[in-house]
Amino acid sequence: MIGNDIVDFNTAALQSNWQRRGFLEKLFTKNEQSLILNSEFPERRLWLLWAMKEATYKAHQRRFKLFRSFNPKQLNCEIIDAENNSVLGKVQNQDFSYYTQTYIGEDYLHCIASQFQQKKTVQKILSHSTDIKQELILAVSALKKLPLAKISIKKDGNFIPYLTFDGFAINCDFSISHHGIFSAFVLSLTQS
Amino acid sequence: MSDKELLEKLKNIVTPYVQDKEGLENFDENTDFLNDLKINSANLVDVVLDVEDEFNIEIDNDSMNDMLSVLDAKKIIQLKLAGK
Repeated sequence: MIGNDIVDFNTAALQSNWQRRGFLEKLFTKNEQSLILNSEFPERRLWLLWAMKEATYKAHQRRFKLFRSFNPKQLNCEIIDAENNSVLGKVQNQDFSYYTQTYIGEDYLHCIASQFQQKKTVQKILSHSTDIKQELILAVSALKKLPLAKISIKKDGNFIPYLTFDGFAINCDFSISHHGIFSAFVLSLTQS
Repeated sequence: MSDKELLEKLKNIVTPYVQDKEGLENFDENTDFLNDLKINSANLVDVVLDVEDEFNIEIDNDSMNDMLSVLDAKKIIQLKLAGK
């Protein structure tokens, strides 16, 4: 399964004081804390690792249909390769490994996590008030060759979103994220 | 501490992080931090840190794991206060 997370850097700076006492310690392992504090841009590094955890959490929760939880330190992030605006990462959640691909832009970053290192996806990132759900429905309609009007997004008992066509669940692997002025979806082109 | 006092303190703590202010109007035990108040997940840690400061307790990782609603938070706070 797939998970994504988008971080709006301006919104993050307004919403979170990452330097407050206890903040780093509650969210990040010792190793991650040193990755952040030894970085040239600690705040960007922090949000990169956070997004890796969030995207992995979503992929894992969907894969095993789990209840919600909030235990970011159970997810161990590692940066495998970073070049220009793209960061390949690996996140270990107990016995399960996930790979993350993160694009870092000027004003935001977008991270996609999956248990596979190579995953064929369609993704879209929007800013301002565009309706990301409608954009996702358009993409699903094109991919599955189904009429647009009968596709909708619902949430299950664990608050995991799923797609329906004419009231019936469609087997479709996707994830949506919003933050600040940005929103994004990622849709898998292969079944998993 | 009465339930009413505890809920009042909790409401004051979460208010700065609430994205959907309408959710605050019906603030009670059934209020969900994510679905009703639309608190950003990165701010859940601020709620936990503020609860620690306000009640002078320590919230371990296992307790933080379950603190996703007012009722969850109330149970954890009461448990930690009783253990002091």
